[in-house]
Amino acid sequence: MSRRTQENLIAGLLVAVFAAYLLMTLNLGPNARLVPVPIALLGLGFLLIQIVSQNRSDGREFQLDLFASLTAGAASGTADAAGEEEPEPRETGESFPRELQAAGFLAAFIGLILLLGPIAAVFLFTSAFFLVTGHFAPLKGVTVAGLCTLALYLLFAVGLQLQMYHGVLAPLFEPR
Amino acid sequence: MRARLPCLLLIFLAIAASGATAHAASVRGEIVTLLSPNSAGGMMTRYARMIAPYIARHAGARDVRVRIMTGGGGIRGANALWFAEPDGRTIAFTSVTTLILSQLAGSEAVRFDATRFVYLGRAATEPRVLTVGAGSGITSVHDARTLGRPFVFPSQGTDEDFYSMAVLADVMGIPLKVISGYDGNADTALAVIKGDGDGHITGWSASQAVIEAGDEVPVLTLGPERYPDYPDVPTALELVDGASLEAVQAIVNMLDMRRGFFGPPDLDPEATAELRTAISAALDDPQLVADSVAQGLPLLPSPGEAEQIKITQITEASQHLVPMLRAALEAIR
Amino acid sequence: MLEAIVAGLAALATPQAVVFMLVGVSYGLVIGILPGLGGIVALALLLPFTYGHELAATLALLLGAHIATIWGGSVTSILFKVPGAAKSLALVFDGHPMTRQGHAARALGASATAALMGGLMGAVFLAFTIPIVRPVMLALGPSEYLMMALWGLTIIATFSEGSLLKGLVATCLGIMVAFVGMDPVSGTPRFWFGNVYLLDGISFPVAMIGLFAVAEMMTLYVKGGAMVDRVGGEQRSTVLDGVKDAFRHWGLVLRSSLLGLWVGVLPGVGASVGGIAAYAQAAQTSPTPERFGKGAVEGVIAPDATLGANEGGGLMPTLAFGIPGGESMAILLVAFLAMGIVPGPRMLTSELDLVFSMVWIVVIANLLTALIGLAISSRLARLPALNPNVMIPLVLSVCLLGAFATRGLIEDVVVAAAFGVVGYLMNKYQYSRANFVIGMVLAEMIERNLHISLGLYGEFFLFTRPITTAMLAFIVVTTALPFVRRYRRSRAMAAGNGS
Repeated sequence: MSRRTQENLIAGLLVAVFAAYLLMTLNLGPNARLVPVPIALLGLGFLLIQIVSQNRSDGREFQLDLFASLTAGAASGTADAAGEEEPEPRETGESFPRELQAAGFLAAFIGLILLLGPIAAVFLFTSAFFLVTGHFAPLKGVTVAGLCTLALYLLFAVGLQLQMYHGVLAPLFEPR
Repeated sequence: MRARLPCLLLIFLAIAASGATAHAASVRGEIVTLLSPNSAGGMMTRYARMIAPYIARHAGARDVRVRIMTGGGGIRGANALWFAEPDGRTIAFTSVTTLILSQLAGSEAVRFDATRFVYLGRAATEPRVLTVGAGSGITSVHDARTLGRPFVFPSQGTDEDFYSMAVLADVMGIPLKVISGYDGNADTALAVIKGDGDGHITGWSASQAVIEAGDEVPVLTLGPERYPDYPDVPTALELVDGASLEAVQAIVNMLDMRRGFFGPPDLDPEATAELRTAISAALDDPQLVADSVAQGLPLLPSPGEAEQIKITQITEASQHLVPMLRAALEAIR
Repeated sequence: MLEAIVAGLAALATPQAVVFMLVGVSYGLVIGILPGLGGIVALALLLPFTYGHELAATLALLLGAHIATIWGGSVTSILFKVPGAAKSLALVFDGHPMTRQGHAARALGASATAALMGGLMGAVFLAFTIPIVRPVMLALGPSEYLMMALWGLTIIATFSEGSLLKGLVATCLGIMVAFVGMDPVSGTPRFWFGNVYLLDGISFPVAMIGLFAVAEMMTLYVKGGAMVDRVGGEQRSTVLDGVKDAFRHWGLVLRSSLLGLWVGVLPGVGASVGGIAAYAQAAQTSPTPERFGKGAVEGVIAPDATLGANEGGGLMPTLAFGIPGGESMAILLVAFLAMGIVPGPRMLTSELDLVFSMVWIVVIANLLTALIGLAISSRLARLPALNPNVMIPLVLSVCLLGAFATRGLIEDVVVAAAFGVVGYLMNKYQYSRANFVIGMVLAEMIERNLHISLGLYGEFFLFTRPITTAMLAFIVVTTALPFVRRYRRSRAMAAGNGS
């Protein structure tokens, strides 16, 4: 998938979000929608200009600036006034499997938290991550994970008196 | 993932419930969960944490565990209590005022009928007060009525003070203009002091400092009787009669039920009796009384039976209130 | 007055007060460093311990902890791009790029020093601006708050990562997300899909943990290699450089502190807005605004000075009028009342030594925090160089637990993860995350104050309120200035090339 197709896909998705949002405001009273409606309309407008501009220009020119478009490219300086992150255009074909893995890890972690509660999940996830990446020898990995879990437990459950979520499976283990 | 969560919760509840029904409905030796639908650092939760161990002691329960369930201005926790097993092992502590009002006003999130909760006892209450800005020229309710323009009421969204004011204005014939969107009591107080607003409703202790400083003037107490420190400030009940009195009485009853314990509807009679006794005893425990003084959380207990009667009164009067509350809500939407 | 100043300090010279201060500050630092938790949680947890001790000692515990949380939040923003609390958000913008460039120690040094200087100025102003606070509080109103929020919004032009259009789209999205839940003005549930969890809205710290921390860990995993560009996390500057930076930009520190002071005084303006406004002010008054967002040390100094001064400002109305300047001040007010301190004008006359005790506590707590901070900064600065195989699970664990801890809701963990994926995609396709969160922070303030202004002053309030009009003009000018400057420069360059 080319970068431009991906960009268009994301932009298309956002158009759908904005449209759905606008639809939802129809049920609201005049005060409740006073701010949301213009904001969503503005966003939609910006997005449409963005879509047009990213498809009109060729190659990697879709980082078009509003100001640049207004002043017909007079301010070429703005284009490289990159923000907090230097954009690193890389071949997405290579990173896609890693991205899926990353999302998978995250989903697994969340799943564990929901099933077993945060503390048990932290221990399992951390151990598993150490084992899978092979960063530590297995025994050391489990030990480090255990220590970290203990530290977090002491910090959040004991120190902050946070009532931990027990996880969906907890009742199965509870003595009755 | 998010859609699955309610299902998982349901399964959890189902498992919990299936285990629960096997027990006799006594809390003796059991773990009681005390839901606190308010924020973790708030007054309500501090009260709940302070009182919980004493209830456990007097009820002979293994433990009374405070469970914070913040959300939707108390609605989330109240919804949870509504669906809880009526075996006495899940009770809640919050301001029932907000719950009744949001229900009467037709809030879409409400799944419960607040008047059907079983009342177990009140821990504390404090009358609320309508104060006006010192520079507003208003010194009494009569002045507010004859301003020749609407009385400007800065409000923080749709809280109990908003609804109380709507009802007061309606029955007392005060033309009202609500300016909603303020961020908390400090913000409305400042608006009143500045003269952006004419007056607002707060708790007596919260307004102490500004009244003493001469920035605000109390004109009306929303409580069963006059506030001892300000004997010249009339109560709302003194100023109305007939059907209006009924409406104001309902509001006063509601406000008087803040900081109370209650259980799910159709709570088992044995558990109800047990918990009411235990809560009364806990609130009379000299050690708790000492604690409450030390922590600056004053107690003003009232037995569950008495509070239950107020609930009934509120239910009867609420039909009067509904159109007023709905109209007030409609006006700011 | 001098007597009161001395008496105020003397009250703190007891062993209990000293110990309480140390405990409070250390505890505050830990809480501040934990993502999602801030001063409010710290105070709420301390409240039960506030009775039965010396008054000054108790105040030292509470205020000390509260002040230390602020710098704690800055630390994680700078090192891991994980804002410890909403108000430390602005530290992410330049602090983290500095870390990536191997200047973590310098950033931390600058941050601690700026917070200290801000705190000191806040304390001094708290002592000396007493007579003018009231008139200013009464002069500013919702329409001016609205202008302040709009001013914060103008900063989005800085963070548009190459595309202003996408930056604007991201801002709109952030504002829209902030509107999920109960509308603060009309009480209408909006965009909640019948889900009671959503009725409370998307918690800001939770979204931030997802967008920055979780997304960053995903990026780290996808990209491989360490978080910092240098091999082995070698530092290219020292803590001392940062300290010098803060002193070199003393004018900026002064301006930012004044801003922080007023943000603290006004109950309708939160510290998170203050941090962003400080950042906006720094970028707009800088001769080289294009360096912002890419590791400009001024972008660290300004928000930290503002946050430092904010506390002194917040104490002012809390003590003098019993009107807390913000949420954490409201909790402090509860503690004050419990300790028998009744705020009011009397505080500034008969209870003046108590007020000065608090001024001293603010000063000493800031000093302690800065000292501890500077001492541990060089060690902390090495953390981001940890092997990602160790860092990813640990940071994810802390952050997801932090997300849970903010409100104790398990749904928040799921939301943090979802925002993690969103943040990853936004970063990849250059929809600025910074703009998104700025929109999210400012949305409520804009909506509230727009409604109040319309209700109180009518549709033409922009032009009938002189201060508002002046602020509007100021915003328009400061926003247009960089563009005009750049346009002129490019015209001059074109002319130069032509000749």
